[in-house]
Amino acid sequence: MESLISNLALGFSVAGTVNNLLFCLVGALLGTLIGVLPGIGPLATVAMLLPITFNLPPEGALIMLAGIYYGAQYGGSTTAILLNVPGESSSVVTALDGHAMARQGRAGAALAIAAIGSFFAGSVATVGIALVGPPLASIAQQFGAAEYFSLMVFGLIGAVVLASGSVIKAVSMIILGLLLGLVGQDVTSGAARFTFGLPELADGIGFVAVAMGLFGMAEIMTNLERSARNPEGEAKIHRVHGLMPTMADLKASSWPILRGTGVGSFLGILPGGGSVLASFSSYTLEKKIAKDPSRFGKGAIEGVAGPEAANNAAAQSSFIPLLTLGIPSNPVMALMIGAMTIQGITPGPQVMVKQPALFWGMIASMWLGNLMLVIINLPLVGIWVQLLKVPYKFLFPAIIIFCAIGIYSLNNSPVDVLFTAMFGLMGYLFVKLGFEAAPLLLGFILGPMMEENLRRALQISRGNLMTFIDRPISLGLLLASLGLLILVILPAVRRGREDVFQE
Amino acid sequence: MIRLRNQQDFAAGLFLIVLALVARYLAADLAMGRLVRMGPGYLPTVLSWVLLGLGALIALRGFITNGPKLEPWAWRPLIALCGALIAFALLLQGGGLVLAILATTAISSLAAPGARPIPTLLLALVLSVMSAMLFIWLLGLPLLILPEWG
Repeated sequence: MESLISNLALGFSVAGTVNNLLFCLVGALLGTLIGVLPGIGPLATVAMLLPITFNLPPEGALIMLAGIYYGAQYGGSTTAILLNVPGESSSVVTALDGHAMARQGRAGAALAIAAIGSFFAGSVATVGIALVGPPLASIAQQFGAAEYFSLMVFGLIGAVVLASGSVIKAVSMIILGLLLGLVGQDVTSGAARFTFGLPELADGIGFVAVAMGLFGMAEIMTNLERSARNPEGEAKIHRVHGLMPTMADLKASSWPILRGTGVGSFLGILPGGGSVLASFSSYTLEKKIAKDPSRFGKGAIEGVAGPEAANNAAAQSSFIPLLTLGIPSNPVMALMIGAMTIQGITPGPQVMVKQPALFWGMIASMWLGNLMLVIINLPLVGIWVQLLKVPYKFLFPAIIIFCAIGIYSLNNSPVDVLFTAMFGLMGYLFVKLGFEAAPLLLGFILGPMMEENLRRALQISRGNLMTFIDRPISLGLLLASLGLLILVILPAVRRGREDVFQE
Repeated sequence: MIRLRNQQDFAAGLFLIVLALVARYLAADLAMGRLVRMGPGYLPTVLSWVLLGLGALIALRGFITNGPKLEPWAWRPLIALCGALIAFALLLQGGGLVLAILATTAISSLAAPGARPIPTLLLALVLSVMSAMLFIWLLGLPLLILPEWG
């Protein structure tokens, strides 16, 4: 307990410096700014804004990225409530009742409850990370190469199981991602792999180009396609008056917020979990235990409060596997790993031991970021609404130019911009072929790490594959992966999973 | 009679098979090594075989499951956006930020129907000024604003 307090005190002393507060604020504002744009979810937002953080010191960069992530999620909810255009799947749920509330003239209350719920959940989850982090990291420090390899297998399988859509297609995307991750010079032998003789590929494909292309560009392409199909799709924006929720609203929301926090914190830790699953589960739960389920979808405030709390709690707790094990549980966390690597930090349990200021500073900044969202962002909602009125035809060229400059400035390399175009094309192709790009990104990030650990484990065991089974933790993780795969192939579970994603 | 019932899966499978074969071909020259000391070609080879198998399975599913037809492609946004990025990449270092932005804005605005020249030009100018202020003066990126003559 004492160490918890001293750790958090260290964290707040780092996060509380003027510079870091500023990074957090700028991150939260920029994240909201981009996240509020219809059709652009947190993943695309983080991918697009990554380059601007790379010139900052490591603490500042990660604090800003975390701020961008929360901001984007909050911005997505705003759009979902006011426009009924969810930026990504986790705010689909918010749109159901949130937009219904907006149509009844209660947009202000919906926005306020979303913010309050998110803040509460964020606070609880922050303490959760501080509590769970150190013991988990000390377990992970005993992991050898074999355990790490199995852990990554578990993480990838988890991502497949909890993803929507076809399992076999998701597995293929992981394999493709692993292959793409191997592009570049082989660390051990120095041999060039899949480089086509291009010096630009010697260090591998830039992960920002992959992420920005697959998520940012492809998303803009599909948005344009959709709006071309129904040109009258310009939705009406509901006016926001009176942000204060009534006492009755608060009373009705308090239990859903508590339950959402619990559900979200738990689901966020799981591999493949994260905000989408959390908000869907919370919505289903609230609807099940409600006295009158028929109110849901017609402006029930519980349907906003619970899922919003859950998705923020999950967003927060998904940092646990990242910070303690170095394993991303979802694509946004994969981007965080990439960002850490660029900053020269190897994600994993040693971060907490070797760089306590960075670790605890980031955790403290999460709480500060959430606080900023409530006290600064909520009153700014009017500005975000104005932004929604800018026609998309002016917005998207601007987004493309900022992305292009950002990508270019990473290495002063025009080739990276070309790669972004290529991955944009690939992302569009994936949409048309019914592939999901998120598992590919996880595979891409984990590819080099998996190969390294696989090699090392087999070198230690003198080429004996049994090493993965002889070591109990490794065996446990592999069995858990197998169990997950079997579960998802069983028809009963499959049906339940489809229900969740269809609702 | 065998009938293609799931065009999307069939095409998706073919796509993976092609990728796997390309990867397999490119990895052919790399040393395999053995399990105890894996060469650079070991994992690429194994993974491309796995991808090939998965691709074949998915393509096969095209005959045994019902699924969506292939959707038509929206070529216009696709070509315009990729073209805009390519123009940016080609123009930035020689032509400077303003020219690159002008070209990128003009080409990308063709992605949506009904783009008109004057508003597009205005947008490009606004974006040029904003980017120059933000990226060059504020963030200090070493970018040319206008081409260097001579």
